[in-house]
Amino acid sequence: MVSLTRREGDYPFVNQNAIQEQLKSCEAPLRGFETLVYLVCASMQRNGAYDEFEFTADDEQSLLDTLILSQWEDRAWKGQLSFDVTSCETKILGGKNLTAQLNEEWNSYFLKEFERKAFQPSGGIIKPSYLENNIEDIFFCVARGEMEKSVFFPITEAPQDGILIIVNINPVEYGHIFLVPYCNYQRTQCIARAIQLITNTASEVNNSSFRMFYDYFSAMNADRTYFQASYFANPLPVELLPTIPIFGTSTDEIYIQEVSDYPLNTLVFTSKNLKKLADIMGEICWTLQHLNTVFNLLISDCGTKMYLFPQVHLPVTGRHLHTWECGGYFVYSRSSDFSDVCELEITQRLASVSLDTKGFQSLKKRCLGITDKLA
Amino acid sequence: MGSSEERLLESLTSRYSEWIMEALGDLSHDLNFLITDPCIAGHPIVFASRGFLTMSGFSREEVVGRNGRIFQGPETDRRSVMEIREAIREERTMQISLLNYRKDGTPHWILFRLYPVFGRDDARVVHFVAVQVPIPRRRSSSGRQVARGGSLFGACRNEVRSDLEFRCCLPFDSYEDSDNRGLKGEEMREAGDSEKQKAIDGAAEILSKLMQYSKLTGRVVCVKRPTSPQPGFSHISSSLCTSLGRIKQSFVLTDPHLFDMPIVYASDAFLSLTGYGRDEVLGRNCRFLGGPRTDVDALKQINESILAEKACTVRILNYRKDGTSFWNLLHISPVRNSTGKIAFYVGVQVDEGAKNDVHGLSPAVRQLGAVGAVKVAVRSLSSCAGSSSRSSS
Repeated sequence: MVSLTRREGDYPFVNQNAIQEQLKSCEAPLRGFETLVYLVCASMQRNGAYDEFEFTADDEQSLLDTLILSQWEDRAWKGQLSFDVTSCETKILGGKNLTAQLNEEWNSYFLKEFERKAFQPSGGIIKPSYLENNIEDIFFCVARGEMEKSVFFPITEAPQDGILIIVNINPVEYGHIFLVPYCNYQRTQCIARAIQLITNTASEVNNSSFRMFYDYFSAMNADRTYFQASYFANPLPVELLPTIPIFGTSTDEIYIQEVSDYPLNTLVFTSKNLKKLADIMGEICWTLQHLNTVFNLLISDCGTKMYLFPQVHLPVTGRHLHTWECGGYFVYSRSSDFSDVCELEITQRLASVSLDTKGFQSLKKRCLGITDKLA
Repeated sequence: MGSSEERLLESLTSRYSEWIMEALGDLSHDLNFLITDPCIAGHPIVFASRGFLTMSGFSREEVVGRNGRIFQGPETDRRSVMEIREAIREERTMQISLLNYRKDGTPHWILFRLYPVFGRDDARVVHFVAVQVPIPRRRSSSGRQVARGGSLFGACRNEVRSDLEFRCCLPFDSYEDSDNRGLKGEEMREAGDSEKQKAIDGAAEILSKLMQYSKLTGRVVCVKRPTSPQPGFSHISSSLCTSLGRIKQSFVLTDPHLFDMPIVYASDAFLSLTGYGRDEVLGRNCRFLGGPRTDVDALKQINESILAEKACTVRILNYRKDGTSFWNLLHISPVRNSTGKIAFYVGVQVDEGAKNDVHGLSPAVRQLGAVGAVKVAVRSLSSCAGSSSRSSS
């Protein structure tokens, strides 16, 4: 078996007593769990010169990409998804390409239901019962490997920590999956640590259609860290807009930009050094969580580009936007809503959750400070 | 990369006749341009003018067959590259100032002008022409330091300038020089009227040559998108072609809206598997793969699934061009576009004798992986050729 290095001591959450307790109480959910395992290779830096400056899509389907797509298509073919999302009509609104989708079978409570089903109420650990009852939904597990190349093990015991790839049967687009980080020896899922392997996964998929999402709406989410991903062959509307640079370094080439002319104030972080980018975003997300900020993260371009969408707090009756909505893609479950929707309506919706100028300046300053410290 | 030399040459000669190479070579020596073929996997360059090779310092062998990204480098503005990518996807002309790199690594500014070339009868993009005009350094520079690697998007210059000034006033304690920190880099060069005119004139010469010579083969090209394709031809946009080129499995796309559901796209692996050439399969129904011992029931099962708009897998005996047969574990699935309606059917062939690949993936997994990749690619398209459908609101 391949040995995996532990990465303790980096973050303040690790508590040795808690580990002992956990091991004793057998809360480690994936202990003894057998699944397909994909081990990511040791180096995270995206080498191949200027891969991301592409005229066209990447040259060939990667192994991880093939695994995800084949498993998803398999579930689709077997009828295990709630609906065929590709049969849903979409339309483009206005010059910014804001997109609306009509799906009368869309379940807007699905994510809450998933969280309730999958996570222990007390903390961010996956329920063993979830694993037992939903074994069909679990594709495979991604974990860190120590070897030069990424490898794939058909069936073996799940590693001590990694990411479970689970099908989302209520997809927003083709290939919609959950990526749930887990750790057998640590109670809380730390966002900063999760982002490292998540970014690594994006890079390994190596498909510019593959987009990853993270929603943070409240303190409860900090305990239930999970990501989502889906394939959008066209970029999300926000990705097509011009940006204003506000930061750049000469060494690790971390760039921060602000999206211009978009109703939702948005920051973009890009870098060729994925490890550094993940470090910085991890720290920023952790900080924002502790400041009780509502935000979303969109990871695109094979892990080299990250959009940060901060949102205002809403009254109890309000609903925060999911990441794909922040990006300009909205799903409507009522035919009349879909027919009536126009660019102005979506623009207003985005603007209604956006930070105001003062709040956004303050956030920018904080992000710049963190980036500068770590870059 | 990896396309054979013949295929690259054929991309030009099959459309413009064998005299095109000489004709393009006869154009002015300081006309720098590339011709690319979006329907070949990797969207490679199929022609580089002598002027281009002189300007960039590369040899012909180092350029033909490669993708245009090789001329980009660390200070090339990423947003500009994305704009080019979008113009290619949307199959339209565009112009931009771009920082390119020569073979010796030195950067230089060029005015880049892109033109799609359409096949008149099949209404799809057959080539892109990219004209490059060097932009010389101006004597009087604006003195404004610009973000590393590129422009700040001409349209809202004043807005942007005031934002920069505003930013300077913010108390970023950790910066010594908030205006310039980390923002050193190549100063963006604007193309002047003479460069723009040179690009336009040069392009006109190239395009008129291509149009003229395409008449020799009868596969005429034009520079404006034809309003409607001739009946009998289906539209596979160049961006779809490029996405499909990534998929290394044997597969075909068939169009159920055309008479007798012909093949409209065939992967290179399909051609290798069956031994046919691309022109021998496009436009034909897949039944030509059947032969004397092909089971009629399997064919019936396929037809029923298609009528029911469902996916199916059948084991069917197929014949190669040379007459040899193989057992084909064929998976067929409807493929929908952004309107939600079926645009094509995909058929992915697996030779029963095929083994697991180097990664240990079974042929069945690779087969479904190919289906998924096709579905993602086609889902991005609307029914209209090349561009998204737009609502009026």
